[in-house]
Amino acid sequence: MSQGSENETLRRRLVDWDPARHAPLDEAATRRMRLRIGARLREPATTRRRPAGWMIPVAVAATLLALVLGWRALTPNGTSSGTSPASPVPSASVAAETVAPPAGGVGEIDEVEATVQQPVGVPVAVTSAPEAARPASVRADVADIAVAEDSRGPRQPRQFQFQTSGGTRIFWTLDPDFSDEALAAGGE
Amino acid sequence: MDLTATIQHGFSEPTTQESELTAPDRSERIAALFEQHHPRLYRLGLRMSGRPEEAEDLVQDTFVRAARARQAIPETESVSEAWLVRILVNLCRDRYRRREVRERLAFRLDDPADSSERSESSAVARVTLERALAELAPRRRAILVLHELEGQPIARIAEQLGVAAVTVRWHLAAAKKQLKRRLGAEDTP
Repeated sequence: MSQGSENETLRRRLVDWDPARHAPLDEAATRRMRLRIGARLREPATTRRRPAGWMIPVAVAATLLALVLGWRALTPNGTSSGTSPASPVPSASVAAETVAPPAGGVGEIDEVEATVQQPVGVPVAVTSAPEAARPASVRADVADIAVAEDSRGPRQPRQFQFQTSGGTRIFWTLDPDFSDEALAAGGE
Repeated sequence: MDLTATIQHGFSEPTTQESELTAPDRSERIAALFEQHHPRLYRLGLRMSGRPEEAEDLVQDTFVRAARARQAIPETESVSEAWLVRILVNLCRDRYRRREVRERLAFRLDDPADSSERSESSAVARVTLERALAELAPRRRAILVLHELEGQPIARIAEQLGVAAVTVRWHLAAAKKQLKRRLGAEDTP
């Protein structure tokens, strides 16, 4: 079909569809519109008043403040990687609580997965493994760390999972009462 | 005229914020514009929405918005008509953004009034076309309606919508292409 005949077909369909042809305006509709326009224009001006100019920046500032306060309430010390207030940080207990990796699992580390369990709603962001957190008997480069967010609740133990080059998986569990500093001190 | 007086009464009602907008001369002007242009605006609203009740709403909203506009009402008839058309098309755009088009279409498909009066195939063709039209953006649909159903020349449409003539041509071609593609897909069994 040519362009011209396609256009003509479309035009015919439009004309056939045209609702203005099938439902012309009658006097009753005109009367209704007049009455409703008049009624709407008699409504008090207050119902259609727009917010004053100063309200917008105040509303934006209040929203931002609420967001910041909410964020800080969820993340103690204003950081997203800190420990929870429910997990106070006694640095001395870490080494004693450390479960040493099994002897057979000692080897070269080519991957580290660190699963950090924090209180609900507290985001976790650990970007590198504490160098001293590795067991003394394990000496190798740490290739990668994956950190998972956990919502099981506060005071859960942190569990580090080491994958050796031989495929052995080693689990190293720490007491929940620790900090990154304690972890660093206790791992050595 | 009594009915015009009804509108004028509405316009001349003093308000706290907009007393300068509801002066009697402004009311008379709006009422005169209503008398002059409401049939044409109703037809346009009907072709834009496909529904008589929605067309009435669009005309009402157009004149209410015109009456409350901060800027002056245009003096000349052609300019004031274009001004009102632009308000109506903008209202269609507002509604288009707000509304769930698919819901409306689903409702339209079940509308018994459409199928009772005409043959089944004609009703199906109308629904198909209406569905395709509903997918056009309001300004594009307005250009198609103004050109194909009102027979307005490109230059006049450009003047009414406040866009360049080349923009009107582009939208017109795009609307036809979109409709043909859509209708072709619908008509293919």
